[in-house]
Amino acid sequence: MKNIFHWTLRLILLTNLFACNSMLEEIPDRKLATPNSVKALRAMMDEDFAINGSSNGLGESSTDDYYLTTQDYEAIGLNQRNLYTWQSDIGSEDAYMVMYRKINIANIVLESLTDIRNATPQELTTLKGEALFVRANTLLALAAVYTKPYLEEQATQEFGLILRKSSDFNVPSYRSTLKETYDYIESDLLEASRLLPMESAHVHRANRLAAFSLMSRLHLIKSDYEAAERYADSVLANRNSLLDYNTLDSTLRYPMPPFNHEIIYHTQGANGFTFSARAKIDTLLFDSYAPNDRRRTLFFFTNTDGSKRFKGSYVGGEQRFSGLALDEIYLTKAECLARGGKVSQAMDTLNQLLSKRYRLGFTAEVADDATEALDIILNERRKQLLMRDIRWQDIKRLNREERYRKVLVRRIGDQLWELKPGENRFALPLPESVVEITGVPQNPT
Amino acid sequence: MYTINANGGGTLHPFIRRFLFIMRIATFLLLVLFVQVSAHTFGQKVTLVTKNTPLTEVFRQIHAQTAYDFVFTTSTLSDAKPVTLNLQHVELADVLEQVFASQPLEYSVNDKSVVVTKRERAEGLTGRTGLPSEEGETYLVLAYPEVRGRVVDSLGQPLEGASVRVLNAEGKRTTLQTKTDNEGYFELKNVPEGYQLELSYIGHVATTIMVAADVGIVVLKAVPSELEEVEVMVNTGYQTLPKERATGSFEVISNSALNTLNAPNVLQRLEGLSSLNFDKHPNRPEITLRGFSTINGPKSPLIIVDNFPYDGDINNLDPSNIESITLLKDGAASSIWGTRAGNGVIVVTTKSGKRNSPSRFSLESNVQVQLKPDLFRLDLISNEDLISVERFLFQAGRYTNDESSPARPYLSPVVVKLIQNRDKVITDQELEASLSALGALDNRRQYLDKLYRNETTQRYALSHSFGGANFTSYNNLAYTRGISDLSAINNRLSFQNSTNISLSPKIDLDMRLMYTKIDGRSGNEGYKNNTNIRPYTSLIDEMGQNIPIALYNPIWLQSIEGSGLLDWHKYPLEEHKYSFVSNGSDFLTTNVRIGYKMLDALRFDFMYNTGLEANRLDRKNLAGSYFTRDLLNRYTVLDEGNVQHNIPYGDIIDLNANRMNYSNYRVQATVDINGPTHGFAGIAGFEIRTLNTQGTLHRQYGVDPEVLTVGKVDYNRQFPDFISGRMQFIPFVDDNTMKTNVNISQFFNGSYVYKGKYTLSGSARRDASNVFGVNTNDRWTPLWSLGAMWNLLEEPWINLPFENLKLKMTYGQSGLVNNSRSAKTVLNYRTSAVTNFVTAVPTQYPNPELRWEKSNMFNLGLDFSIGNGTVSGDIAYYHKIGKDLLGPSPVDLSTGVGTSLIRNVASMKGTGVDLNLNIHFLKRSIDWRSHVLFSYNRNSVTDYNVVSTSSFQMLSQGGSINPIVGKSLYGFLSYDFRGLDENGNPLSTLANLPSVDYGAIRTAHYENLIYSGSATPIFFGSVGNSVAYKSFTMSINVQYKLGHYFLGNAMVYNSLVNMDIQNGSGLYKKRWKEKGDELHTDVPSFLYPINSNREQIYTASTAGVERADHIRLQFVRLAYDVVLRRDVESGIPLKIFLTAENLGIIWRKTDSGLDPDYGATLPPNRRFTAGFSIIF
Repeated sequence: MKNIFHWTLRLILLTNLFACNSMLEEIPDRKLATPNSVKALRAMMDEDFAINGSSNGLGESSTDDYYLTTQDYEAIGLNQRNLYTWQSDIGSEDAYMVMYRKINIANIVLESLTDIRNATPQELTTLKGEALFVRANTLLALAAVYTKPYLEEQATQEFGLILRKSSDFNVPSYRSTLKETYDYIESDLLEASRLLPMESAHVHRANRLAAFSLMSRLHLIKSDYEAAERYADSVLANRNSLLDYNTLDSTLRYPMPPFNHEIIYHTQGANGFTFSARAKIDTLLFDSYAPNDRRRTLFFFTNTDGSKRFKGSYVGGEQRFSGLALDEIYLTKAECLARGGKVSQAMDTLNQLLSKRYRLGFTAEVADDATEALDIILNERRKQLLMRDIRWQDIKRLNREERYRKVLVRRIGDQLWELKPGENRFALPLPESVVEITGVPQNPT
Repeated sequence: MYTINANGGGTLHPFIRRFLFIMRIATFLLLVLFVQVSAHTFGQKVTLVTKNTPLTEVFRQIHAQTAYDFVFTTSTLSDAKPVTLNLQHVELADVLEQVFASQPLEYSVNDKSVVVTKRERAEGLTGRTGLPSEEGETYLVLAYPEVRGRVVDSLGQPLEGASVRVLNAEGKRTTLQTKTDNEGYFELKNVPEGYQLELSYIGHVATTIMVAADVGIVVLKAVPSELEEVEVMVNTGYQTLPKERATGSFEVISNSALNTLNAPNVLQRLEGLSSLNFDKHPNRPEITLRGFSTINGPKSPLIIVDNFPYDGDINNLDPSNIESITLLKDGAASSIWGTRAGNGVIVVTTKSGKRNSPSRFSLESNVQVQLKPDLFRLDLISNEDLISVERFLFQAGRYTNDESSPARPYLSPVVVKLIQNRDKVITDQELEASLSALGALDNRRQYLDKLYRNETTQRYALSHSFGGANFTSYNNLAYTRGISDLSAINNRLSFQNSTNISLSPKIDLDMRLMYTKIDGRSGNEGYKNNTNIRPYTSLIDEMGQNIPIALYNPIWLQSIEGSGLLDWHKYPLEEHKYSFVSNGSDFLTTNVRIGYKMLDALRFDFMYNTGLEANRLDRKNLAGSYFTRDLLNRYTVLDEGNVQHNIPYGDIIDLNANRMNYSNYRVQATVDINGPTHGFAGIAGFEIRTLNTQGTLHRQYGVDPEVLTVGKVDYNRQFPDFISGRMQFIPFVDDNTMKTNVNISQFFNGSYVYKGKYTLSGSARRDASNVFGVNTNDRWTPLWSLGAMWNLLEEPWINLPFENLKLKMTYGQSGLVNNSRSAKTVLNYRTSAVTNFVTAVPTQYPNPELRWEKSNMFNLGLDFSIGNGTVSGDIAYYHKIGKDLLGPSPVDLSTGVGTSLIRNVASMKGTGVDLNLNIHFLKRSIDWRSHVLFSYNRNSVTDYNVVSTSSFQMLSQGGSINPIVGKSLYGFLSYDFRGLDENGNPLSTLANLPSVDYGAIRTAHYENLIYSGSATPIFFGSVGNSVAYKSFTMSINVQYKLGHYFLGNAMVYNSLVNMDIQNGSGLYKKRWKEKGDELHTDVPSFLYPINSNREQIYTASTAGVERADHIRLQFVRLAYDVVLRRDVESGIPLKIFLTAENLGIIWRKTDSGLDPDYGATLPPNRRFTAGFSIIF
């Protein structure tokens, strides 16, 4: 008996303990995955909230396109009031974080690409291009909010953004110079434009035209009008499908069809805190829309007190469209042409756009000289790209020019706030916690 | 023919692999233990070399080698002959045979005693006349050759199977004992003079009497209270051992204590009867044992049912099935349960039959009624005041945006009247008349009358138990039917079988099967004062007709009437008919244990436990429900008279089905060696558990309940929202889940006893689980404990009047593994509603620096019993240190991983004392016992990685972890409140000076805040008294919680402006209105617009912090015990009882009138239970 027992023991001891570890490798939750497949990376880039949504609305909230009534001003929180009046303590943690989240996702995708097997080269280049594009697009939007206006000669001295080049959160943050920031965006975009395909399955995914469009926007900000025009041309050479506003129903609450064919790349964000319901459109701006301008009814909704509210978002809903669309490209091209002295070409380009914006039979705009052309084009640019996350960057950009300088004013009761060109406050304060944790310098006020 | 591995390929079937794996571990354990065991079992041999040695000296030698006692009288040995023997290493039995071979004596071995008698039967009390031995041998004592007696109960019925134990002169139990026969008679032989007999029987009060030849009839009284005195066994889930051998700190809640309260949930029955702390705060753990061990991890104790961690719903267990509950409180006790046990362990043991017991049925039934909540105790703003606030806000333009908003938000009836008045639709008089009519109404009465009822629970349980010589059987059938105060129905039917069979003397088989079926249906929507139904909104008119209630702008709703939409109003009194959740679950679990007793001291157990729980949760929104009408309307397009429903008309049903199945395997070896000087008890084993859950959620639109057809919707197209016009998809909620947990553990636990005086114990365990993305080597977590016990009364130099006095000490390490210890980025998938793409978002980021949490606990305990059990209990002091505790640590937002990351951020310590005292004051015709529980627990953060210093970031109001080092985990850290200034503004302080600079106060360093104290009680416990007279027993339980704080009512103006009317808004009446009011009120003036800083400084100030010390009358219980049918031999015990709970607070420190346990929420109303139990 004892012998049999010992014999059995020895036999069993010979068998190896191999079941144990394989059991521990079981995936605890099927919803969980690591970024180790094309499917996973594709899914990360397709995240509509994280990647295409939640764009930062602080710039739009700082513009002169809208105003608050005293009543509404008093009803909003302290941080929002400070933001409205260009003060510090704007409590913008969330708005900042969601943008860097996009960058982090892009970084994870970029770092994971090298480990992917069973993928076609085409899939990998597209994903890489999209991730680079998302990173560049996000950084450019952040630069509009958190850095001072770009001036080539000062760009090496001014503070740029915190550039996160890896997904490792243990790598400490530092502030780059403004030039480093723009150079980094440009190099990402250059590579993205080589990698991305011409067409994508959805406007939520970037394609080569999106990269060109963003490149055009970048160069416009940097006053490199020749390059901006070249990239705008590249876009328009491939696509010119403007939306004809005459086909739209202005009685609808949101007349703009979502994902329409004018859109090149779709991102969106909330209208900046609680302003959406309260932001009343600047009356002079509204009055500048001619009666036969379709935008006068398609863009605006009349409040009970007679004030105007914006409803023309390309999101086709309550949210602010902050992506790229052909109308911007037309306007950029027209501006660049005008700045290059090509007055008639500039006006032609503008009129191509306006013909789709005015009622049928509208009279084309004409200009005698480049300055007049530029005046008209910049005016149309503000009117067309209303609430599109472009105005704040445009104000900063145009403040560099004597002719287009503007002192921004907020008035609540007897109180008055002004923001003059060249002021430090054009770079909004970084969230306090970022300064506290990383020790990076805060934007001066 | 069987073919092994028929599918070839060289890989074994997973089951075979697993089986071999288990066997391999089992044999490993066998080998280890086998060596030790052989050394002891063959050690019971005697070497005896004598030459004409007196018999007494022979006895002495054998006693020295084997610890066997020899019991005899001097006269017995008068004819004994000297012994000459030469035995080397011979079995004791053989030795005895040879020793007595030539003696005129008989002997019998009884347990560890050798009883020596004359070969011819002795008569009379020979021992009485005997003389003390000349040699003065200590073990030569005078003895009664026979002791007889009979044990009966107070009604004269014989008690069969009562224990009769012989106690020595010091009152300690000897090895002599017997049991009464079926007529209650007993007989003992050779009981030394001066010894005592301890007579005990389950359910009866044990009695001790002096030994006499005939002790006559001894009457044992039934235990008056439910606190039975049975030998306390500790079940750790791995082994059952007498409490006196455990070095750890345990608390055993007996079956009768569990039956004191009749809550349908097992754990609820422990409130006031155990040292578990029940916390009613919604943001703190509900049940804690010895405070906290972790800051951010799970804080609830681990629940073990029948030897295995319980993953089902605790409500699946019917309390009538529970035999006992053991709380494992210290590090040694809990380290055996590994990484999930850092917060203590609750071990639940279900009932089983007993050997050699007659067939018995037990029936119990009770009815519980809890009165409907008293909504009028909510301190709400009066309707007059509310209406005046709305009028004021209307004038201030608060509703201007809402009025024109395209989202058509709700406008209250008052605002509608005000608009109509402004637009000259109604006159000023009409306005005033309608507003005063509204002000006179309070819909709480309607809610109470129409939607609330008294909560009732009926319980029935029938059980049968039976035991033969080789098997036992226990069956239980229980049914519970509950109807909540809001008419929600919850039914539970459970069946349990427990069978134990001895297949052979060495092999026994234990089988348990439990089946529970639960079904229920949700009830009415309760009273909420924060919905859009204002407190002055009548739900019903004088004719008893339901009043339609608009949840959108009523003026707009009126304007679209008749356009072909469905009725867009809500009818709260009807809603439950159309919108409800019906749930059902089937739970089946089986336990199988095969035990093989290889040797007396060594056994092996193989245990297998598998369970299956299928849950169904159907959310039904019938076509008549507001939910469905609202959704259908929003997806309706009106096109020139054509009504196009994009969601088909019909019921909307969300089918949610979940399945959970788990299995546990355990192989365990148990060694139990009781030598005269050395004793060893130990277990070692290996365990694998897997838990798998799968769930499916599916929605059906447009269901026709009559023919069960389902409507078709187009999920791929966007439709305009009727209200906002925004294009959107039809809500798609379908989803699947699948989760698998695998845990593997190896464990060892052993104790060594030296001469019954000193015990040393130790345990070691390591756990591994399939944490996602963690390298295999990092998965294993080692845990250990050490303990010692000193039985003081065994020391010859200690002479104290105690029956029991033991000092215990343990030190153990347990831990908590965090599942986010991932080395890789973890993604969570979903499907985008916008693009229909599969999307994924990172939910966890790799953090290789994370370490698992460690919790070390030192425990020093003393068990005592004095005055023949008049006072007994235990007291324990413990000290806990938690290290590397995980918690959210603020992170640089630029990293994009969120605002905080889980890191090892903190350390904490806890100190406490647990006292458990049983006092038996009176044992006469009135029997009075007390059970006193006292706990002291103080915990504090010893280290916290705080990044922010601003006051507003650091506030804590009892519901969140306070990060201040040196202060309690849950505490109150608030702005200083110094009353109001002459303008009605709250005064706080800045640098110790009164200040109203709210912005500066808010961002000041957190040292400017005031720490009031702990939010959890420092001292708590209960005092239970039970007094019995004849068949009546009255029990009163009083609970106390002291030394802590709670958040009382505060006037939150921001909520008032947003019409989220909170409890405490009644303070509005007391607000500052004019100069001078600051002298007699602390409620600030009402300012609009709200200054959010001022509001925060006031609401998060010390103004709302109240002392929470209180004493509560937990329950009163009256029981009547009778025995029916005295003519029948066994009688039929019947117990009838009445219990009242939630009887109110006896004393409280706060003068706010609030119940500190519930703060600003409504405490439960009184509850009464009546019931009976009968055994036949």
